[in-house]
Amino acid sequence: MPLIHVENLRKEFKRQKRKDGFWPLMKSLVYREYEQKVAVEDISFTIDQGEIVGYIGPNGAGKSTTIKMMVGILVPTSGDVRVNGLVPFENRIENARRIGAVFGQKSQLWWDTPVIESLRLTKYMYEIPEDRYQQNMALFGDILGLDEFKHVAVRSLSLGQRMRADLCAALLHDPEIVYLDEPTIGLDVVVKERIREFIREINRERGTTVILTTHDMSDIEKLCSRVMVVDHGRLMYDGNLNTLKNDYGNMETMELDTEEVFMMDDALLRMGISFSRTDDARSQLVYDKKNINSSAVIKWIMDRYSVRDFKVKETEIEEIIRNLYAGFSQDERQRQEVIV
Amino acid sequence: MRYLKLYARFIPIYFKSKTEHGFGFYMDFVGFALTHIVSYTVIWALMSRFQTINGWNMYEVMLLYTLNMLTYAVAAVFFFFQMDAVEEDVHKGSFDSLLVKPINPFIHMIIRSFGHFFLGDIVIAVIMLTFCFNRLDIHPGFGSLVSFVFMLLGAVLVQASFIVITGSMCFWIVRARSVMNIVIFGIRGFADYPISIYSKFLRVILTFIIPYGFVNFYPSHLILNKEGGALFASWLPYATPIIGLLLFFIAYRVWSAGLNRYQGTGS
Amino acid sequence: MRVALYREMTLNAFRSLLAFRAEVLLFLFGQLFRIFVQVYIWYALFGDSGQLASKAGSVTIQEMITYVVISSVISVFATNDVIFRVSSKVSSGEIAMDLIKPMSFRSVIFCQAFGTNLYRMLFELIPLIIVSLLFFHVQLPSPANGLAFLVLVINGLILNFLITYTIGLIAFWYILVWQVNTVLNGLIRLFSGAFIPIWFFSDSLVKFSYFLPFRLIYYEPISVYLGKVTGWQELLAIFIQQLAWMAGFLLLQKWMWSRAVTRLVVQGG
Repeated sequence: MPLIHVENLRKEFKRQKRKDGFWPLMKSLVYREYEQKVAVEDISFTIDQGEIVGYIGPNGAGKSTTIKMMVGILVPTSGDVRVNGLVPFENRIENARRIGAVFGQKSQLWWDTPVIESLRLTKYMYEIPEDRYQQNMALFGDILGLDEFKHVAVRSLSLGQRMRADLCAALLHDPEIVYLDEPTIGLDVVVKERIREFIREINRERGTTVILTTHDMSDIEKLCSRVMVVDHGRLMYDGNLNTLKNDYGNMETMELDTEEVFMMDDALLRMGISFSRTDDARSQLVYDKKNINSSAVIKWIMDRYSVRDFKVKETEIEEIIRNLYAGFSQDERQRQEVIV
Repeated sequence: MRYLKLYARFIPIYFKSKTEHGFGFYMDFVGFALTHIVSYTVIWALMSRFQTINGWNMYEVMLLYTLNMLTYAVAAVFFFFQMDAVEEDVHKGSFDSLLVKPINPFIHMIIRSFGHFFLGDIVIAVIMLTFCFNRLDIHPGFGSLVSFVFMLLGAVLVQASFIVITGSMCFWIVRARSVMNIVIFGIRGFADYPISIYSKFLRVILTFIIPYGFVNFYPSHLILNKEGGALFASWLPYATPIIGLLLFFIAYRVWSAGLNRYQGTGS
Repeated sequence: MRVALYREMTLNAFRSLLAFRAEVLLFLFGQLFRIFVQVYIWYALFGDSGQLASKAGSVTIQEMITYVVISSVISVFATNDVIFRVSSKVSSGEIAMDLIKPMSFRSVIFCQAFGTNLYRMLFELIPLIIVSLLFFHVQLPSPANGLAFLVLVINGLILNFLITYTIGLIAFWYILVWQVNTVLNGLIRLFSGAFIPIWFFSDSLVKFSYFLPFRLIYYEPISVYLGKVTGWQELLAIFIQQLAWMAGFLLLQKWMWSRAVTRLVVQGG
């Protein structure tokens, strides 16, 4: 039985129309216009225990709205959410006991108190047994490197330290599921890596299910076995990362460094290869992996040129997502039949 | 029970981290205290010229002011900065963090901060209360002291209710802080003087609609021998605890309605 | 060209305030509440007698109510925002953005304060006056007194600006400006005559208030409005006192600024 069950989920918001200019402003003093906005439109999926799911999409796509409904903060307009058999918004507090969440830029820890004290208060809030608390603190403190700042007040932490402290707090009570909203945003590479390591470790050791939203594609590549792409409130892709890459990342780029000046050829065009020259010696070839593989391309070239060096690059994940968005808005319906 | 335990853990930590600021921490109290010293001086300057206002002498007016300040300060310790933070959270979208914790958000709201600023007010109020009692030659017996304490508790609930109700407006309107300011720093000011000086209309409002009269005016009749001084009905001086409970119940309902709205139920 | 710059700075402050329109109504209520409280206090203090003896001769209840309304009109403009504006800019370091503007920091702050006051004039003062005229019998001054009042009030407001600006500069040395502000607020509340006219003060308080500039913002102009000050010598005396205090604060502010700037250079890297 899946841990999280989401079916035909929908959420609408009413929003006040804002207008510029003096008179519309005066008018809005007396009379307000509202508009309906659909943040989430008919989303369905299930998540099993132990998965790490990357939930991605552009800003305003409906990511956080979905997550807020999953943790019970928002009540769906229609549709069904079940986490662990519970409806989150009806059993918010019961649900809150079993989940951990880190979101927003503001810390959920006690703002004025030192990190270690704040974590201890979390212990009382979740009624974590002392031995479990000690055990977890030892393990988490080690991976996250909390020691260096544990006596500093939360408000004076750096962004990276704050995120590490918040992550620790969110996982102290051994939640079954953690929701992480942009856990690595604005952090430097070292801290990012540390946080990823922590998430992997928790998932491996405890079997914790992780749902994270991110704009950083390397988070996805390094952590997630499964991605869900959402845009305009609809789920556009749900599956593993490799399939996504295969379906939308079929273009490959070959960088060539040749003795002779590389010349474009009709034969290349016929093979579906496009060409651009960086300078006299270096050129770039772009082709569809499905039509022709890299070895065929390099063989054809080596027959005609002396190749000093070459490099094959897969499409970057950002680009894949971009392709996905572009394709979707171009011909939404057609695409949807293909994917879903 | 669990909440109390959590709170009991939190308070010492809070004070430890606050007192680390040293000088600034104590200056907070001084700043707040100064406002009150000025207010008492104003009353003194006014009353030493005019002797009585509507039959209330200087120390009686000071007593009214003190009761308003004391009960507000006690309520504010637990609610003022807390509700203020809620408004900020709702606007910044960080209010969610209260909703992902396994604690009633109302309780969580109270126990995640502490209004140490107002402790200075309480100290001044207690000193002034003793001073006024002394000057007015009031020596309450045990019985009347107990009932006076109950009155005070009711008055604290009245004060707390207004903070919660006006603060909860942030779930509906954008600039809720202004509403809070108007009520707490505007309307509450009416109760600094005996409400019998106002017009009938205002007296009705301050008794039945926005019952700040129950914070000091009515209960003070129990300890001051003011014959026929109570307005409307002679039992009103005893009503403060009931009014307090009732109002606090309403305040909690308003808060809950706000929470529901935030979560998108109903509307 | 200079004028255009100042005009834009002023308009900008005005525009950003328009966004807070919900506060307009609420502010009006707040002011009215304060007027109501004070008016009723005076009614109660006057009791049945329509007039009371004071240091400025006999005062009628009508005059007292007018006093309360005019005082609250002045208080619309004589605020302490400037203190917080200056101190928050100093403590947040935002002051650097103002220092690279081609005008003095004092002028930047003055423009912003002026823009705010322009807004207040439209959205706070006018409604306040209309409502006050409806509810209370506000006496109107003789044309000569009215004119003198206007001059003295504007002077008083500039003085108020200079006082608050100077105190805001304290932020360069001492961060907890709000306590200083509390002290200032208290002094103003007591000794400016904003609440209790100085003519009802005891002798010792009167003397004390004469050593402070605050009565020049509220009490003296309102006295002129009510015709309690007669003779051009007395008017001139008030006017000269205002100028003297303004000059004093200008000098103090200049001296503080020169010290502050060196601190800024020392602190900043």
